[in-house]
Amino acid sequence: MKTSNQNREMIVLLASALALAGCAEKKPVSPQGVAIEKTLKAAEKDARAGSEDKALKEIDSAEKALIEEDKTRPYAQQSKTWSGEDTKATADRDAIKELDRARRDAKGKMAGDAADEVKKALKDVETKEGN
Amino acid sequence: MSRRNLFWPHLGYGCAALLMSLPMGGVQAETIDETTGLADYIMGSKEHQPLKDYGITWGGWINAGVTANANNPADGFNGPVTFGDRDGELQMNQLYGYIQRAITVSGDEWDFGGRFDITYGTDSIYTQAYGVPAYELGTGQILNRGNYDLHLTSWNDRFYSLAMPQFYAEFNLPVGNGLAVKAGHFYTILGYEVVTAPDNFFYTHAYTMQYGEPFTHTGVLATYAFDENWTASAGTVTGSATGGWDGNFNTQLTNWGWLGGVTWTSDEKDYSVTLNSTAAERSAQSSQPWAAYSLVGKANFLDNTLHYVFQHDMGFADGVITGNGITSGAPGGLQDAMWYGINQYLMYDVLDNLGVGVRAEWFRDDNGFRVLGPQRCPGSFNYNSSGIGNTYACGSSYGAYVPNGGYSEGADYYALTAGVNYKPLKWVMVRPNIRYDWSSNNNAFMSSTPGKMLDNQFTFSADIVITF
Repeated sequence: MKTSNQNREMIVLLASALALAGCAEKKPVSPQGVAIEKTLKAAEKDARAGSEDKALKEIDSAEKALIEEDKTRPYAQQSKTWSGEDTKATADRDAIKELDRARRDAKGKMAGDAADEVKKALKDVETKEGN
Repeated sequence: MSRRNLFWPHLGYGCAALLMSLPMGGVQAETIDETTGLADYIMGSKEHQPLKDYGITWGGWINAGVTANANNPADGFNGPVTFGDRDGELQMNQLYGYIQRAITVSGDEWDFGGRFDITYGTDSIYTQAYGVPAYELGTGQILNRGNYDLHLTSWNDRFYSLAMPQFYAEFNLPVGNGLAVKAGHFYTILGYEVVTAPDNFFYTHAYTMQYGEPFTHTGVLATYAFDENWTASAGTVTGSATGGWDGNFNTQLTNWGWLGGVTWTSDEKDYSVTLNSTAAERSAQSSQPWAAYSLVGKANFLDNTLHYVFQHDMGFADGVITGNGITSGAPGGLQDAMWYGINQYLMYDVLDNLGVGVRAEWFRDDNGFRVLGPQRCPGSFNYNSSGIGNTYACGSSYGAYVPNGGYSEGADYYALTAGVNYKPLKWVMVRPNIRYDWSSNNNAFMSSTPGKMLDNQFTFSADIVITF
């Protein structure tokens, strides 16, 4: 019976922690995150307009800013990921992946594809920044 | 003992549970191409995450698959291949759900959250807290296996059961860049492949994942990012009679061990290397060491479309009863056991929603300690209050499923897998794969003749994952 009580106590403790956590407020987006999102929106717009060269510069700029942001605000990166966990690391990796592909397509004069990939990268950055 | 696993009733229970969890009359907010999950499609992006503004989110998926085995094994098992372990039977592997509050890790302020995962299906037995075997692995003393989630629902069903692989609280301590601390029951950081179906490229799993690593731990684990390249973890784990592996909350709590490691990641995230390890005394009854490490390297090439992964695992357990120890007449059947392996993956993104990949693996069970026939049989073994041993998945005919008189045999295992990963929607994934297994163990795979064993098998598997 003692064991069963211990289990119950553990469950109550963890459930309480989760419930209290629900009262926490959402964190604001960092100034760096705001700037990256702005650059990506411009890159998508330019790619859609067929300005591959301009979009290419903005893509490079956004990727550099993402990497710089990680230097000022580092986060844990591990070899395994589980659905729903480590969303920041997953979103950052996915954003860089999409930007790599957008760069390839912009160089290949496939502006429409590049714009789609920048749009995906923007969603990933929004997830990374928590908005 | 019924051969069939009654897939359809269990799928029905799963679908009913899913539908009951979704409010009826929801608004379809976006087109099916834009939605991120089934619940998002049915209910809309805000409605299906009503507590998102407070940081609390939920998620889940249903995963079902089928495997055809060219050996047509008489026992219906795909030898030591787990998860998709049944031949010619539809399996609902996972009806999986989680609720969490992810913490914000920073040096600025405290934060706290947690996560609870629950899954029902044929995979559950492989991720329950089964780290306390039915008997002490060196002395043979019968042990209390614990009752956190082990065999919680499964005594009347050979294949379907419930597991709660994660149940932890998490805190951010505002020191330096922020120290994240998990306390409770959580997935292991060792290895590359994971239990959660959407997060693997292949439906089938590597030997290293099934036999070379733990699945979960119970304890405390702290993680810290030193800078943009280096992350380290360190913690302590308990509740296990297998050196801190797969521990539970209510037995073996006097045995504590080490869990931790380090990861290096390049600035552009193209390359990473992770080394993680566990080390502990084997159980509360034995101070013999049990340890393992796992090395994982990843590299991305060709504008992040070609992905290569290298993994090496090695484990040690001293003074344990092994198959080779028994058959060689070692005193008490005791040996110092070792297991190790290398697996490599090469995956290419043909399109955004279509990938192709291959996996090649070698795994060595040096002493016949880790691989023992269909893992579902020994995994479901327990003693009742009268001291009578039984396995609910294989029943009284247990011996018929386990070759070599019930003893494992030191051997090399090889597997070559090729597969496709196709996502017709963001939240639907289809994964057909072909796989060839062979072994230096002539008793590893059953033929269509009961008891007649082979050293190889060819399987074709396919599964679908629908994310909520």
